[in-house]
Amino acid sequence: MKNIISFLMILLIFLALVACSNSSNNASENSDAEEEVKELEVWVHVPADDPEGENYDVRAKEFEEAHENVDVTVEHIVKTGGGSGYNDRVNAAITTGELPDIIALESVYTASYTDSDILLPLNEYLDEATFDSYLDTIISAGSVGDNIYALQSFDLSSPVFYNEDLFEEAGIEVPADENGNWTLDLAWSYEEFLENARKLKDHMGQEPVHMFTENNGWHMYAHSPIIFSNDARMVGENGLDTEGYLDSNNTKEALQFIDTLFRDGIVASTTREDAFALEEAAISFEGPWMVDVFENEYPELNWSIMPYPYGKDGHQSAPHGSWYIAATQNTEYPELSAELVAHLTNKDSAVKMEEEAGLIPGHQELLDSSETYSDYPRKLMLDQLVNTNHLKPKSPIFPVLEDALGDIMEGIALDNGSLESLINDAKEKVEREADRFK
Amino acid sequence: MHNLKQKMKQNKTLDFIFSGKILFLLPAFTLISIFVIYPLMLAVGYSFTDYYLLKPNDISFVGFDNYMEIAYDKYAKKAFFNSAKYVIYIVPLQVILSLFLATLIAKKSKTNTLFRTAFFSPYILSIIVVSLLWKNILDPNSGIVNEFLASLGFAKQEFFSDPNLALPTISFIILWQGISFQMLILMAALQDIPSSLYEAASMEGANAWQKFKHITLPSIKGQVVFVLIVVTTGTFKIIIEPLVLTNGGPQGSTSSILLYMFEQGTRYRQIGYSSAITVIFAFILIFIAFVQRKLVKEEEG
Repeated sequence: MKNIISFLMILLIFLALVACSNSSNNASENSDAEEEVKELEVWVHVPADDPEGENYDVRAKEFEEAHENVDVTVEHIVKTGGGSGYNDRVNAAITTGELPDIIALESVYTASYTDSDILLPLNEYLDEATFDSYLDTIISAGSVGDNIYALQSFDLSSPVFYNEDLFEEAGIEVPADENGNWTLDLAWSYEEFLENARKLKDHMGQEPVHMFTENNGWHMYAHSPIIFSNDARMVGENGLDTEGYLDSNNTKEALQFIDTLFRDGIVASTTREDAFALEEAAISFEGPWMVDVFENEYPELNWSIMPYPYGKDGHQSAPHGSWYIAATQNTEYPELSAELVAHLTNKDSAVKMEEEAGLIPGHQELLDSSETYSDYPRKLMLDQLVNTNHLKPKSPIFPVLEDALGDIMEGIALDNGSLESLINDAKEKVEREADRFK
Repeated sequence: MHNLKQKMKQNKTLDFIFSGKILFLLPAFTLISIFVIYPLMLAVGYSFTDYYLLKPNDISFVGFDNYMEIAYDKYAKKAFFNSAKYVIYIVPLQVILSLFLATLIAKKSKTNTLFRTAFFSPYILSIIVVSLLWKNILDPNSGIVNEFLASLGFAKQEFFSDPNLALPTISFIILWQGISFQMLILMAALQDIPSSLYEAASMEGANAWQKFKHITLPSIKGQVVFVLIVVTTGTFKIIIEPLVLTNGGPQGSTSSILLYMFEQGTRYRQIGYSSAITVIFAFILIFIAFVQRKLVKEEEG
């Protein structure tokens, strides 16, 4: 009897629970029908307390306020060396099909991601006027073929620093326009660069030019423009063909110029940290963030910025590229996601990023009013971003191209084999990978 | 007689299964299945495909293509060769030096406690911290070693940028950090040897070398084999040090097989190809462990 009562009690409780859960489901279904909340998830590679991370949070909040029933979550997945922490998470999400609506990605990987149908073509959801606002260089970096996949509110262009005192002591006349500025059109050719570097070497008694020689992405970012300025390419339009590109005469000529820099003792075979800051180098290919370092930590250093040396007239090139924002094919709300990408990278973001991080605004309209980049020498960074060629390969095998160029540059620096053999090795490496995509 | 023994063995196994004792193995077995066996099976499966990380829904079976490609991949060969070099540089020295240090500090005394702590301290530091520490110490411009060399009139050395020096330098750093753990294992083994054996040997007029050869070594043989296997397989698995210190360079001279596999899988996103490298690597490690055990057993026999 006792057992029967217990059984009935349990049955009663169970039925009551089922009834409750059904009624709550019904209630939520009803409310869903009334106002469906659209949830958008954004993954970025910067921490929340970084100006860039903070900017994404502010824009996400604005977007929520401007749209009813839209909930935007920004997840800050901090990248570690080489972007690995963040990239690992994205890779895992690609494998499990759990990518968020919006991701941050290095602009150079846009081609790889589009080749794998991961990104949403933004031009299918946004009008032309939206894109017209951005710098051509940003549109170009975020596009593959006829589609635009990624945007950003700012960009970077790495400068070539020079030491005014050492130039003067070595008797080098600095090219200048009527306002006394070393402008883009007064850039040194390969020959002029070599001639003046030799004068500096004679004066200083050591390698006058500093370059980072380790094999990493820096060669592609900061040194490849020297090569591309000789009308040289690593791969063809499809991002995969090397024949006639990596081994072209123009590429060889450009690499020969770099080889001469090392063989003539103009650049040291290994990296000399702080060589420029300590006045042990008169010219240095370093990142734009060094401007603040030189200003704050080396106030005595009389630095300025010169244009990138070039190989052939009309082919001047300069570094560019950053982390961009893109919507993924995983999103349930493509239109809304595309709109959010544009909002995260809008003019307000550009202003904030210039004010707080000193980055070049990525919207045409803001260039003239830019406070940081209105005067030389900093204006030169803006000029080279806007007015030079940006020929980093758009290729699904970009990581291999980056390594192949790194192998060549490191080989030149260490004098490890002839230029011909270094190019052939790099070509072989690229072709092996390219074959997988053909 | 043989059948009887086999039957008894079978009964014992069945008893073990049905007595419920097997449940005690379940947690360990579950963990090993999830984190070792399952990933290994996956790697074997992927190694026969063209799995590209960004296209997880477009995987095709390619047979032995990945394995064939490894045979012609000069970078893979170089990485295998580098790993072998690491083993040659590190294993003998690490085993001998850890045994030497263990012998020195096995006796309990206040000074030895101090030495034990000093010798063991590198082991508790993270590999990345150790790598960065040595990177600073050996820096060609401001590192203390090069400053010292320069003060003696020697040329500064590019420890991590010279293709001939980079691998030996990394080997030294690994040796420096890893030696202490092996030393601890051998020291524990040394302390277990009954002192009466040494006393008897002394009474027989044995000298220090004879005592070491005839008492110490045979007594700790098991532990030495353990250390040998652990150090060999561990050295083959080197990845963090070259990744942090040189990223496999200069000119691939410090890239290990695991670093190459990692690069192919994560940077080039070729999961199929890197899985094939993993499978070959796993077989090499199993083979080495098997040969080492076999050799030692034969010697015992």
